[in-house]
Amino acid sequence: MFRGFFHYVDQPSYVHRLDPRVKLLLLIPIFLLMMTSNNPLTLLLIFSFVILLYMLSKIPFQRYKALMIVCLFSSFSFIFFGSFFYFGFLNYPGRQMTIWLSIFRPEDAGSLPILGPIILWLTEGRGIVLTQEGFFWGLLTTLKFLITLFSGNLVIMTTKPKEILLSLNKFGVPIKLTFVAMTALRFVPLITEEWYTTMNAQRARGLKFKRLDIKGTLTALTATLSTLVINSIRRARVLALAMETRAFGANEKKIAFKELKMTNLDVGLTVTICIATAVIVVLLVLHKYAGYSPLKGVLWF
Amino acid sequence: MRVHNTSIMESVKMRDIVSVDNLWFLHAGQKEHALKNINMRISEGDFVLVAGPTGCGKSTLALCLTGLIPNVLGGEMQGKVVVDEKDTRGHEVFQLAQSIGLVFQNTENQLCSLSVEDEVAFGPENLALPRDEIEKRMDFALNATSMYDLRHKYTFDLSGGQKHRTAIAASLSMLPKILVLDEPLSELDPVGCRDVLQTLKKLNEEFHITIILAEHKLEQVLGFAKKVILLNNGEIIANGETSEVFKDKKLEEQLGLRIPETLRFSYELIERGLIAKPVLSVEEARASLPKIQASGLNRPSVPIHSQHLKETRSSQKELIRAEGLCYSYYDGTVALQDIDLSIFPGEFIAILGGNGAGKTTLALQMSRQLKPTKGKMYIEGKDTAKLSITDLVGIVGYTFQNPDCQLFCKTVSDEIAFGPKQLGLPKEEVSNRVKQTLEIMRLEQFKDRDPQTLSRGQKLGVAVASVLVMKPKVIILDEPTLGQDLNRIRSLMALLKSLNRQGITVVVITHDINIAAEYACRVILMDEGKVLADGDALDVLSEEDLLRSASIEPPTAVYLSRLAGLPPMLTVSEISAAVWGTNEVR
Repeated sequence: MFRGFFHYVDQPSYVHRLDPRVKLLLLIPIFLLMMTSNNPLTLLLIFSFVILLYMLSKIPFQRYKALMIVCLFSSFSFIFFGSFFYFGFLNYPGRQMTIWLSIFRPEDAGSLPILGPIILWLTEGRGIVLTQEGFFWGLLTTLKFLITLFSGNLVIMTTKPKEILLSLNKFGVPIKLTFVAMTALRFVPLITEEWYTTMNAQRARGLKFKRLDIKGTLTALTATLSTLVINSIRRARVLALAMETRAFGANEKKIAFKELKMTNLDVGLTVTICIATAVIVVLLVLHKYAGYSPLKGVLWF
Repeated sequence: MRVHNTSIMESVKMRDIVSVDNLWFLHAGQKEHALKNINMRISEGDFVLVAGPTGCGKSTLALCLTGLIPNVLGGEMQGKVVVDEKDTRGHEVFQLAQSIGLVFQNTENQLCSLSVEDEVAFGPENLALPRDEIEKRMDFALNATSMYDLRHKYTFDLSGGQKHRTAIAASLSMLPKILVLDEPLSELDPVGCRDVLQTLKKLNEEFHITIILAEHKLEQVLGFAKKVILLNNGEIIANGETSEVFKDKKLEEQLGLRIPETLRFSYELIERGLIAKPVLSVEEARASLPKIQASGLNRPSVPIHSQHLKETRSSQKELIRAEGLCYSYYDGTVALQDIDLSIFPGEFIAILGGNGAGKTTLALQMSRQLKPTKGKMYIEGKDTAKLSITDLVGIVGYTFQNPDCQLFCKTVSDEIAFGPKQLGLPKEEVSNRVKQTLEIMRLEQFKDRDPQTLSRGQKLGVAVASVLVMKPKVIILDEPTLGQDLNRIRSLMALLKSLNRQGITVVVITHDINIAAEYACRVILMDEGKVLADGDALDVLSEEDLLRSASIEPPTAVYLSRLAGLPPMLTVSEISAAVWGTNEVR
């Protein structure tokens, strides 16, 4: 279940061979640009760059197909709701919203007896209109969403979990914290399996999740949760004892059997990334921190 | 000079590596001591089996030896435990861990890393050893357990035997002189068991690691262990050479140990003065067999298997029918291939096969927890693709392998009442049914206990009760005998037999050949998602080669009866009945 996405894919590729720290570092300029840019074209460029890295890493499309489908659905809803219900731009002084299509204008409210005023009240007097700005807001959100998911997933798919944790340690995250993360990754598949078993056991004994019976559904869910928690506590106890016999916490420092080593390529990339980040920051400061887009003026913003 | 050398060697070899003196232990919040006055010595290089029924104190003893008691776990400990010249009281657990390693019963829960390699490196990394030392230890541990080629694998992708070997390797990388294993075999199929036992043998013989194995499933272990310590109610009741200890025939009944069929047979032979010492492994049994034949073992003229239960299939309609059933998981792994079978009312069926043969997947199909990806599954003539799980209430009852996951109510009687309540039955009917079921399952004294606080066997009983109360026509049990001692297994199986006699169809999933041989009328043998054989228990179970190809060891009795020139028989009691005309035949 969790093997599909968010899971390491073993492939011989340049991206896989990069030092995990470089990959994590690369996320900084990507996220910085992504968060500050309001230009669909810039965002599209960043997204293409991320996809290019996917191709370089030779991850079969099959492995991120599911993620693509999830994104497609959410993109649709972002764009749909953005187009009809986003009016954030009206908060900026002097901004106008361009109406592409109006389904329910405020003027029409009078012709609809009860529903009309309700819609007006819900939409703060704007009616149901499709705006150009709303559409682009949806598009921007979609692209930002895609970039976040795909760039994060790239690191996960091309780096062994242990190496990610090791590099986090190098960045100063305490060992105990990364260990918690590792055991979580280790036990998530097991716990989901147990949860399914408990739910099936309930259903096999006649429990029907009825749509209207909220109280009954809640009781049943609480029951499955208490079973899960009890089992997890049992598991934690054994795990704690096992770790005790293997000297966990015996020494302040811990030696990793595999040392992370920077190659020349890694060093070169690190320098490049640092310079790029610096340039972005300087440009942002020059443009007063917000709304900067390298391709300003090409589109509407 | 030379003599002197060997005597030094001898004395080194005979050194007591574990010594326990007057050990008493009381778990926090309990009234009775879990260990009572334990005194024992284990010499370096020994292979010791600690056997006893569930709850006899095996696990507690293991925790004491490794110093987790008293250093980590609470409770009252008296007496002294010295391991490799370190008193467990004055040393930290991680210091002791470099002398004595512990492999826990549940392997799944003791592996904390994602990959085999990381798991094995975990201990030495924590000791902050130099990197090349860590690598050396990893190589040693991985090679000694034959896990080297699998070192990059994820721990959750491993088979049961491989998981155990990983856990052993992870202990070995601490370079212990002693390895304690708590019931390592209870959840493994015969192949997995052999796998782990061979590994232990290698560690014992090649690397002189002392092995202490706590187990009650003695089927395969006895051939490996040199010494046995028997525990009951926290006391040592026997301690010595394996063949000496097992001279006593009463131990089996008294301790609920699952002794090998060969041993059971040799008691018969000893009684008749044919051999002097009990025979432990099939190999030894084979060696002593010519003697039996020479002593005038008369061949019965009537083939015994006619006495075998051959339930005639009633002319009734089949209860469950699979037609060309296939199932593959989301990732394309094929779990079931072209299954065609019918189950008739009143049958007692064992679905037999190694781990990963597809037994559970088939059973999940039979209870509509999975739908076929190709082909059809009919339950009472209805296509399961068009049914939901809840439609099968009152037809199919299912108990999962892990009883922990299927109990979710506050008290045992609530647990049993859950199903009938969902059916919307009147209150009196619900309480009547609960009362009846409590009685049948002999759970009255636990009815107000929280099911999660019961022992594994009792939990399983509650799980069966909660299914039984729905009055199903067929009850499917996934590995109901795992981790239980003989007496518990016997009472559960007797109960199933009596339900079967009342007309309930019973399907038991198992990798335990002796369960299938002793109780089932029909056996479905599975391997790699296919049905290899399906038919009368005797017919299927006497196909030795076929069983082996499905990684199941044929019943000892089949093997013995063939060597003795008898028609195939499934249990040794049948053999002795055939030969000496004693004992009851089923």
